[in-house]
Amino acid sequence: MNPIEPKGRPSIRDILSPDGWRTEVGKSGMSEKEVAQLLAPIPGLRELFELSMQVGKAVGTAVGSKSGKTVEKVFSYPYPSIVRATARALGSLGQEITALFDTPRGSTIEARLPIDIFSLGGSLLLEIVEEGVSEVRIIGSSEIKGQMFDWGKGKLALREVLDKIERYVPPLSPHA
Amino acid sequence: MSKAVQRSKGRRIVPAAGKSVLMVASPATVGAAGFVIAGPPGAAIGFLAGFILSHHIVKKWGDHHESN
Repeated sequence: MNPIEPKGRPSIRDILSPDGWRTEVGKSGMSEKEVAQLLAPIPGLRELFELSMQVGKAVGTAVGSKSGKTVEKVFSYPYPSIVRATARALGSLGQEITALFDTPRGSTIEARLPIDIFSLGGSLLLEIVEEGVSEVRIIGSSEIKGQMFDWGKGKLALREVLDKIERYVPPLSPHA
Repeated sequence: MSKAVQRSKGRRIVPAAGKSVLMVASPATVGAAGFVIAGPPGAAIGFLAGFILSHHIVKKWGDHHESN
């Protein structure tokens, strides 16, 4: 048992183990080459464009530029249902879960934001906070390193996850 | 007229190699700067801006050279 896990609240791994959360994760997103192909379709220029993306990414990461958004939502469902719905929502949206662990107030799930035309990938951090018997707050934050403006990608991804959780949680809830 | 004389008169002949370097380096540099600001779409905008800029500079150099 996890030492920080409060009495009565099951561990996130115990909640998710029947669902096999690792196998639910689908493949999504594009490769860096596909992004370059889309934005610089002329052969010859593509290699130069890829080079400028690589240099830009390296410089952006080196100088510590990043973009991020935070979104919060409160759900009136039991904590285990929210945790299961969150893992399923991330899997359904193709956002690979990279880390999950218990915290003193609940748990945290980290997922990978796939590469697309707006960014070369990032991460989503979902903090699940148990505030009452049937009240759970999800604090979601996105982070994309290497660029200062993310064209709304982080906010959109967080909204999509929260909307999916809202749709997934009633059937997973015992009092539904 | 020698290059030294031209330089002393404020004129400068740019070698062809320099123009080629500019045509390659400028889009890559401005594209990389665009990426730091706005990711791949920023890089694409910067790349295009770099091409236009370098083309403009090379053309200006050419005009300047011909007028002298």
